Amino acid sequence: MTDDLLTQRIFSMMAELSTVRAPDIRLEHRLREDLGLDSVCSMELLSMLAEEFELDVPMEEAAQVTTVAGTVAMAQRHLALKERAVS
Amino acid sequence: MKILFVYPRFSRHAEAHPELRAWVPLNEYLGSPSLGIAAMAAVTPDSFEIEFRDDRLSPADRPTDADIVAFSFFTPAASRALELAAYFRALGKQTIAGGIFPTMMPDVCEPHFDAVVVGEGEPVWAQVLSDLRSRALQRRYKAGQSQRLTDLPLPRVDLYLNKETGHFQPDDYPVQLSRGCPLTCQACVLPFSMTRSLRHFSIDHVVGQLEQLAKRGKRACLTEDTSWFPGENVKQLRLLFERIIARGAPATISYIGISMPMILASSTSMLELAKQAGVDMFYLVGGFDPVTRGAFTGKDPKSLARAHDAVKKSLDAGIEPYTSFLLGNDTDDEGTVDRMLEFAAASGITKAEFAIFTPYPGTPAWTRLEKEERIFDREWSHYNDANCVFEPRLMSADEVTRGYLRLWREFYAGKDFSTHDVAERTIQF
Repeated sequence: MTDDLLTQRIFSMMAELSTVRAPDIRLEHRLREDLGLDSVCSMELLSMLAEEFELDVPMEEAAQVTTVAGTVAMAQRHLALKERAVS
Repeated sequence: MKILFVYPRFSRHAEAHPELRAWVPLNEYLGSPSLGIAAMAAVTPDSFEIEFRDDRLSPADRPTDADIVAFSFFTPAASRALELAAYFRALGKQTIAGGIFPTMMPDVCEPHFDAVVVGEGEPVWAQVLSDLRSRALQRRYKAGQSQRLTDLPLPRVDLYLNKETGHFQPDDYPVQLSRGCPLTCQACVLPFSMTRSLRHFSIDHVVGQLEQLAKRGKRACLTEDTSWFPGENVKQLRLLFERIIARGAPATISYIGISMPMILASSTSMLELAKQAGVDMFYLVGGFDPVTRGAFTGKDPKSLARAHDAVKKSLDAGIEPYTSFLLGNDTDDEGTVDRMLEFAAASGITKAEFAIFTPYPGTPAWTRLEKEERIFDREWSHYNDANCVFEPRLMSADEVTRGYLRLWREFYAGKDFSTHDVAERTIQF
């Protein structure tokens, strides 16, 4: 999956949880302040990522992420780890 | 030496508002004590004799030959705990306080007890007992680090089971899968009382907890929403369900705690596995998560739709969502009660409980409302989800209390549970 596709997919997931629409989400947005996603939403988002991309992100790591860009970077990192493990 | 462990009584919904008994066509159920005392008794050496008194069943302020009286309590029981401590101190006993309230409010407790244990008790218990023997008890004990759960023995739930009477026979007792939580939700004390380090009991330990209950004909209730969190948590839960199914002994779990976001986030296969493992009911806690905080505002159709989806997903999996509604959030207004009742009717929820938002000491909500000078009642026995102890934002405290009573009355009006079996027509209220 390209980085662009991954980013768009994560925006869609965030839009499902937020009152902000996917086209209006920006990488620099803060999860809590700009998208209204509190810590429980972060868990839900993490579950969605785990389900869709079969990622295994530790909760403690996810709890540290505060921005959209941070979420995308976290997903990219774990996808790369997964691919490395497979190869 | 002998230790008397005391679980102080507190007032529940129907005790605070006896009219509920006329409105709710269900049996009233007195649940098990929380696990604190069973956990501490398990790490108490055999050289100490142990007695346990559940103050809810019979008043604990009776003479005792114990040398030490150790209390475990949360906020609703705090006033009674202070009263009992005064009684036992007058008898010359050494008194120790532990549990959520002493952890979050040690300064309030310290004048009333000889020692206060802050946080998890197991890491400091050996020191407390040693100091007791040498009559050198410190005023306060606090563990330097989180307890390693893999080192712990099974909780002594036998102490609770042996207290059962004709009138007090819970069919389920709590089982712990984990402790701690890295999140900081505004109304939850868990990360502050049990640390932000989320630790798991081994599956063997959890199965051991289930088996010691099953041997006495009891089921387990799992109240932690953290079990459904992604990663290691839900893996552990899945493993537990698989072990239960493999043992061929389902129906060992009476209910499991969850929130709407976690239902929505869980895969259908995970819910089906829960059902296969004998989970027939969710204790669906609302009011703390963004879905239920938005759903009843009348201004957030997306959250309302998601709330409907969560209930439907639970029902589709064959798991009854016994739903807890919370009134008094800052977004709740005079229309919230109607919207909650409409939702409950339309979604197909058959059993529910209703609670008033309560800023429990130590939670972020407590800190925020204190700062905003909105807390007007510090009588701890009123901190039980059945009284409004703060100034709500869009309603008055009286309106919240009236709304809470209306929810109980109107939700259950006309409902008939006479064809349900005993377990299905029993709730804790």
